[in-house]
Amino acid sequence: MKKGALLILFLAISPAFLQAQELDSRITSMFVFNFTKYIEWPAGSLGEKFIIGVVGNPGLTTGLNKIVGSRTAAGKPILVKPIDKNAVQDAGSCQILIFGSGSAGLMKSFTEALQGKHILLVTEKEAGLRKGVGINLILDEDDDFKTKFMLNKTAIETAGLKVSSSLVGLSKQQ
Amino acid sequence: MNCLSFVYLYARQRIYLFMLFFSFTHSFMKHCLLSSLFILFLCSSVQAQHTDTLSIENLSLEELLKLRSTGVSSEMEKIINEKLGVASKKPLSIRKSPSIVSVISEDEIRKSGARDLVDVLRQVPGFDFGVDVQGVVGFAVRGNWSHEGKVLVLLDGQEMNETLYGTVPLGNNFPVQQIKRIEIIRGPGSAIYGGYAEYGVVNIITKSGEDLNGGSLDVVYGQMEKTFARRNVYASWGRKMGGWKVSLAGLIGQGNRSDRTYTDIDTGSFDMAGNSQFNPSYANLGVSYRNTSVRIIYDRLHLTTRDGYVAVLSKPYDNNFTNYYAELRHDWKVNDKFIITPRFNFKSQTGWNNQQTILLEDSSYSYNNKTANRYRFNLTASYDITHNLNLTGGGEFFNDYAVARGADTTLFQKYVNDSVSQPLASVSYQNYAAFVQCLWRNRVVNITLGARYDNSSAFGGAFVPRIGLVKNVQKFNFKLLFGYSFRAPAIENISTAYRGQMRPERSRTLEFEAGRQIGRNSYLTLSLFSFTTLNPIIYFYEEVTDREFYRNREQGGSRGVEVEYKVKQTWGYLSANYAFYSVAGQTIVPEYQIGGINNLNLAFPAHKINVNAAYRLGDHFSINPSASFMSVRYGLATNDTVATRFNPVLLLNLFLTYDHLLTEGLSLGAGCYDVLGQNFQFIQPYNSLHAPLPGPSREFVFRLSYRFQHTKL
Repeated sequence: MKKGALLILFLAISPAFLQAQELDSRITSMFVFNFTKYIEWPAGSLGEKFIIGVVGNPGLTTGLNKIVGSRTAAGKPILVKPIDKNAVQDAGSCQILIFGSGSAGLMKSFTEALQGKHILLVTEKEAGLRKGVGINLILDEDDDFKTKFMLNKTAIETAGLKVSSSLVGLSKQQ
Repeated sequence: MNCLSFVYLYARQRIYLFMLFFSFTHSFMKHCLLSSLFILFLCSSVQAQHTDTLSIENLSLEELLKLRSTGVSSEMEKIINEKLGVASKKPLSIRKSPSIVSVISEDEIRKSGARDLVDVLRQVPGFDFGVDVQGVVGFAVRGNWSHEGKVLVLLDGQEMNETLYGTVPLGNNFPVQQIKRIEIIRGPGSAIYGGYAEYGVVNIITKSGEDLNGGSLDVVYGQMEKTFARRNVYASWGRKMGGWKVSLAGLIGQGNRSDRTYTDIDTGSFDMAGNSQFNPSYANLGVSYRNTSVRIIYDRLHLTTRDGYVAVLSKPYDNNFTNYYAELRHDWKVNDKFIITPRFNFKSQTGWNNQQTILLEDSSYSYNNKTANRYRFNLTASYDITHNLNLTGGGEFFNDYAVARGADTTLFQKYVNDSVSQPLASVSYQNYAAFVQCLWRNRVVNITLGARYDNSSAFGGAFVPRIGLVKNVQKFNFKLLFGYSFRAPAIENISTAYRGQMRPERSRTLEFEAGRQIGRNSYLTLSLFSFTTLNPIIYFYEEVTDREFYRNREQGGSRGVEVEYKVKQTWGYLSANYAFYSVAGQTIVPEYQIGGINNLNLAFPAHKINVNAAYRLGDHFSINPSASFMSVRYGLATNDTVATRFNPVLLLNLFLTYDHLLTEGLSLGAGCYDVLGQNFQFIQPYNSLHAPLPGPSREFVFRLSYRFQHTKL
């Protein structure tokens, strides 16, 4: 009876279990926009627009569009561009590429395909740092659910980007 | 508007409590489940408040890092997400701690006008109190007598349990005016803390030098119907100066346990006014420099008793507790991920001390003068393997040494065989322990695996593993916990072990908790527990030999449910909880049994409801009602094997506070405890011929406080 009671209780609330605690897309968008102030892209690598690509998470694309508005990054107008998971070649023109929630499985193929490109890779999955991604955003449940970021300086510099020491100072240690 | 909110929340709380109360008039688990589901779904229907309107478009990276994912934290969110150190080797929030945890804040203690630790902990679900002997009151947890070495009490990290029996006498002691926070594990804690934490842990944290940054003085006076209950002075000072933090706090006072008449089981009686003194004196010095800290505590409790063991005594005798504690600790941060903490503790305690000459007519009482010392080395290492994986482990050694002082130097004994014992002037035992804890956070469920192994030269080994599964899903949190805990036989348990045989008792506990943040300002938890204690160590008196002993009984335990609801708004706060336990269907310890009643233990009610609220009227004035309801209890009040029925009790209290009276920092508090004059009695929870001990009568309490702050350096 006791075991059954506990099982039913778990099942009754199972819809809630299926929802993981996720980053707030508006805050994530603001973080990404702020990163552009601390990273320097090689002058020749920029086109007419500063392109932020988003793989997965359509909510993040919407959030970014609301945030960037008419703002600029590296002196260029910003374009937010959804990237199809099967169109890795479309990501080649991006300055920032974000792997939204649910796209963690694509990280390996994208990072391999984009090697040598001057792209800042950002993810919401911690394991991304070990797969060559430059910045990982996390929800710090130990600190009142604040959003933090961890940084792989080597990966960013390998992509030919310069990262400011103040950004390194603000990042959370791995 | 505030009044309406209060009434609405109060009414909603009444519905929750009624549902739970109703459920237990029928079979326990079935209705408990229905109630759980009802409550969770009811809560789910309450719309959460969002902060989408929060403007973040112009925030810098530094500002974003301070922002919570759903906006700025409410006061309640800060509380439930604040890190606690009590339930895990690595600090975690209430919602994520792998234990059933309660937290009591400084504000709740101060506003309620709590007179002592009994008032504070009475508000904790599942906590009760009973009388032992010699006027000493102690803990019970979840319907089980826990006084002797089953609840660990820490004060600023120092183990307060006296080493002879493991007890913590409660009354007009402990510096309630200086407490910053109390963190409580309502359940097993041995996998972290060892042999005193079988049923629970009470971790009292007083204000540090940084918290104080100034000084405070509190004068408290309590008046019962016939005499004063307490007249205490509390003083503290502290400051942070560069890397240094210094705090010094003290308490000196006088008190009377009660002013009512104690009647023993043979109708002998005495007036407790003037015959039940409870006089504390206490000093606490804390100094830290960067990662190194020193703590020294002096704590003395002068009690007088005429209730003795069975028959009343002809005059009051001393029953003193004099304790010294010291700690030296260093947190060596090898790097950001790896911390090694060596710690040395020493405590010297002279408890249950009476050096007066015993009159012939009081031969049942005895001279007792023993000191027990414990020194302890602990080395703990904590390594964050990744952001989501922490491994903590270490080892501990402690040595207990107890010696009889004064005229009688043969107060300990050692059994040569089953029946012949050899008197000893001193005893010494060593204990080695190793412990480990792995905390793995992942998307499915957070897992805590831990274990501790103790090996004592007195009683052998005790291994206590535990596993905790914790899941937070947005506003919900769930905990499924299973583990073992143990009680280490104390020096006197070993010395007076029946036929020289004594094993540690072990408990096996299964717990489930579901929590729900309702809106942004309230939090509801529901906990189910079931635990079995194997080989409980029980005191008994053998008439044939006219001697007292301890022995391992077969089994004990209980199961039940606890519901806790807290709301904190601009108008104030409300904290309410309900606790239920039953021993039905379990083997009951014979000494705890009530004839004809098979679901209760002696002394403790099946149902308990607590409410503690504060309602602000203006910026300085607050009205603070609190109440505790206890259902029927049973106890032995006469020289008869049939237990007496004690009617339900409603302890109703009201305390008013006015801050910044006339000048900044000056506060006045006044109120009444036991407004209804219910005359609560502490019942002895085991069948040992001690009549119920009267608590205080209706008490009027006055408190004058002054706090000042230094300019921050």
